[in-house]
Amino acid sequence: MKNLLLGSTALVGAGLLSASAAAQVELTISGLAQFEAGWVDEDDDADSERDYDFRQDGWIQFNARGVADNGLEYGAEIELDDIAAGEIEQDEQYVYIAGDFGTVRFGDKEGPAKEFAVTAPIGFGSGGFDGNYTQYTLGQAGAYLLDVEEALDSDNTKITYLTPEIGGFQGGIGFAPADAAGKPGTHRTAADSDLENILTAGFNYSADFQGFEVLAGVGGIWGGGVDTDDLTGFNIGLNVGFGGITVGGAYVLLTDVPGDLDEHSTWQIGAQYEFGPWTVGANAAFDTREFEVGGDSDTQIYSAGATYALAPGLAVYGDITFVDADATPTDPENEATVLLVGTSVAF
Amino acid sequence: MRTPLLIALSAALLVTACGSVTPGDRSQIPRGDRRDRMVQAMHKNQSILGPEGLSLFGGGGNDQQEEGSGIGVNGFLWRASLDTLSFLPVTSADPFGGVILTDWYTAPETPNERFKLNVYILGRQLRADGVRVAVFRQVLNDSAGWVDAPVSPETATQLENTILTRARELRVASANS
Repeated sequence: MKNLLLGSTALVGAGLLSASAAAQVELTISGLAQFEAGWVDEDDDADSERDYDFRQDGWIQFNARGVADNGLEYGAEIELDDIAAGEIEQDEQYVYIAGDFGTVRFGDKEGPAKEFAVTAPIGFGSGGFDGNYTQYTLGQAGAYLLDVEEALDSDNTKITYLTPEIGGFQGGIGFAPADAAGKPGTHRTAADSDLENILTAGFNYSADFQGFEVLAGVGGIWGGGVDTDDLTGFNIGLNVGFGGITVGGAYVLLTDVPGDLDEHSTWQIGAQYEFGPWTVGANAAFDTREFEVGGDSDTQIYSAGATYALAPGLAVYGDITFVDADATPTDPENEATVLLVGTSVAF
Repeated sequence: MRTPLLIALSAALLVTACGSVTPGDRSQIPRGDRRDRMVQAMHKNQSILGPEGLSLFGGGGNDQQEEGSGIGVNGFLWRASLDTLSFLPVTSADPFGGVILTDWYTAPETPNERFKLNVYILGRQLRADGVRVAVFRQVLNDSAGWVDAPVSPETATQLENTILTRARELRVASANS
């Protein structure tokens, strides 16, 4: 009988199959590499600068995931960053457990206000007003808030709970003792963070109504100021999609901000259209900052761009962005137009 | 600037008021930080290595495709087990519990030795730890009749490997057909 068995086991590969499939935890590696060229025309540079430059960016992410016999899902993510800059830093890192009760994350990862934020459409080019033009300007490029967590190091070390999705609703709440990522246990003083006991919360609602896709999101943030102002604010956004067209807008307001700002708000609006491998779109952001020392500063950003998917994982993109930023107490006003084209590979 | 937003907001309220709303496709929703959203926007979650990146150590991404249908356990493992045990008399085969019990079998070359197998298929996934084989062996003792005898643990492993190899062949054949 053994001979018979041995004869039928002779096929190559069975050993490999059993060795690899027997492990319980699955490791996934993914990442992105990006190259761009940008042309800049701005008021606030010294006229001697070259008006174009190249830049690159890249990151890599490791995800481990396992499912226990009782159905509990667990895993971890570690994201490595700044690879293009010649140094490798840990960016996000967290462990999580998930099940019917939802998901609990422990570690450095954006909070639910950002996770569930609905913004104006930014899925074309490098992101329009949220794109990479700020990487090319020498003068100030003003400011904008994509969501309330822009006021934080949103990857600060925290515990986050995300609910399961119920009837199109999904939400979450996160708590961080301080606004510091990669936190050791000693970040307990004012010098380490000007905020403490930071609570972020958010939810979104998605529904499909006769071909109209509706997505709404709300987020809020509360943080205690350490020898400075507290942080409070909210964001609200709505997208409506139909047949590849998405239009949407959002409003972000910080009513209390630690540091040199009194109040900070951004309106966003945009539209994008996806057809075949193309995504084209335009968006704009209108930002107002009020300073503690008095005075305010407006930023207006208008952008249009396109992305073309050449192959799975390979895209070329470009956008043109105009920024008009008022003077602030520390910086002179600046107007800049940035045209950038780039290519990126996701793996 | 505020008008389109108000129109959109009213549209949403109208939509939710109508009642016949189905949950949206959440996989299409941009999520996460700027980088996550950038990857989603530029690549629609497609990457060179497929939507989930490079999976190591037994990635279970295609589990659903690997399931058999109509029975309670993995169809490929089930058929492979029956194929592999076809030379033995089967006394009980439960496709829902995934249990195959054979009767005692004596090979013609070794009339003093007999085997019995229990095969357990443990789940709906085609994976190496999805099948367990228990081997029982008895030898003929002149005075006491059939008495239990030890079995090399390798025998069970070899049987499991045979079943897995056969299951893989069936899976490949079904994928190509």
